[in-house]
Amino acid sequence: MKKFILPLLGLFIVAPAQAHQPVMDMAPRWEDGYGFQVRHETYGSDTLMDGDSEIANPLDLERFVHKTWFEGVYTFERSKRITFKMPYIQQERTKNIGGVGVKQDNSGSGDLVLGVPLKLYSNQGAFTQNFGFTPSVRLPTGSTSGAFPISDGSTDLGLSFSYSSEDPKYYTLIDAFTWINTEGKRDMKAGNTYGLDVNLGYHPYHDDDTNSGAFIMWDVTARHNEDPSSRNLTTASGGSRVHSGPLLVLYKDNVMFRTEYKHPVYENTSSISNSRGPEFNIGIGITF
Amino acid sequence: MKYTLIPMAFCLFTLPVPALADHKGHDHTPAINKPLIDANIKAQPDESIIIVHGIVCSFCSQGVTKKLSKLDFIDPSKYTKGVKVEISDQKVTIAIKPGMEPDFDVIFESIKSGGYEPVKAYMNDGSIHTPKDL
Repeated sequence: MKKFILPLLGLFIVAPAQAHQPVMDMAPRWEDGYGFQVRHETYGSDTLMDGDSEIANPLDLERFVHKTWFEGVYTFERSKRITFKMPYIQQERTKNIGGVGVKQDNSGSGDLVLGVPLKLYSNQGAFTQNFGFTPSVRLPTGSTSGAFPISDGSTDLGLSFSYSSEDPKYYTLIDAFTWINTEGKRDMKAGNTYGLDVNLGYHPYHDDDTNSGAFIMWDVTARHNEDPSSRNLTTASGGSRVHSGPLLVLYKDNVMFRTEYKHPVYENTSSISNSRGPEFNIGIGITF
Repeated sequence: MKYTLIPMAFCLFTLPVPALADHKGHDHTPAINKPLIDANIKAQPDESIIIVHGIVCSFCSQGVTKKLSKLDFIDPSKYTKGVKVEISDQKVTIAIKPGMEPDFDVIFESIKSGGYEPVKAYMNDGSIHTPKDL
């Protein structure tokens, strides 16, 4: 329980992003604007998969991961930004070692991600759109020690190509991304990741006088992970996964609250592994 | 999987956005996309109404308020620090301190640095100002 409460407290104590987040993607759009976000992400499952089939799990194998992201963005001008994302990770699993289910856990700061979102905007009447290109680098700041290490200790390269459009009622985001993972310490190497995110949003309410409102969106995320070289890693198996679900954004003035649930609608693991399970996100952000 | 993601991404990138927004055939065309009639826009005394393209989300456009509110001829006692953004009409109303003359070059530059495109500014005396580069 403590593992849930501490990050949630952090959300409300610290003034508050990842790409596809309002603070990181929608705002700040103005010169010298900046913002912060704290976001808690939880996923995991005790369901055991072999390919796309659920199989018996007599050893009660499971894996759960909780990440609290501290994120920030600075906008030089609307087409040039820099971002950072630092996770604090708490993870636990029961692993099959010699036919026995062995519990393992670990926690600590993860790998720092730095990004440079570059956006080409065009505004036409009540319609704005942008094409984005974001190179990112993931630095090995997380610990590689223990039986269930936080990081593989490698420096990785991320690339994202996105398109986003918005009018007073509708919002669309399409983001194709990849992470090219290099080999880190202890011969660990997370496999490369390829993915596609699609957000379709509706803006049902906005009050000009109080500068507050709400977005509802539907998110579809498809990912393919190549097999990691070591089964020590958090990403214990490669495979293809599609998650989908609703999300809600509430905002007032410069503060934004976001919560999201994504259900695993398709999974095909490349070896026997726990399902990634449902994903839950909650976060709060502020811009200046 | 990656061989299917790339074509999917291409298809989605090339999908016309109005098709996503208008999938039931309803007319969701925002009002601002229809021709603006200058005579229908009337600013109050000591105010100016500015039409700004792309200003569709108040949370995203708070930079416009932030930049405009710093100008010395803006009256912060009205609206939000002297600025009101109406996203449905693409209108930004600014309150001007009585007796002061607004500098529209500075206003247009402030809106641009806030990330959006100013189109026209309307004063109470019927005058209309446009950015020089339009």
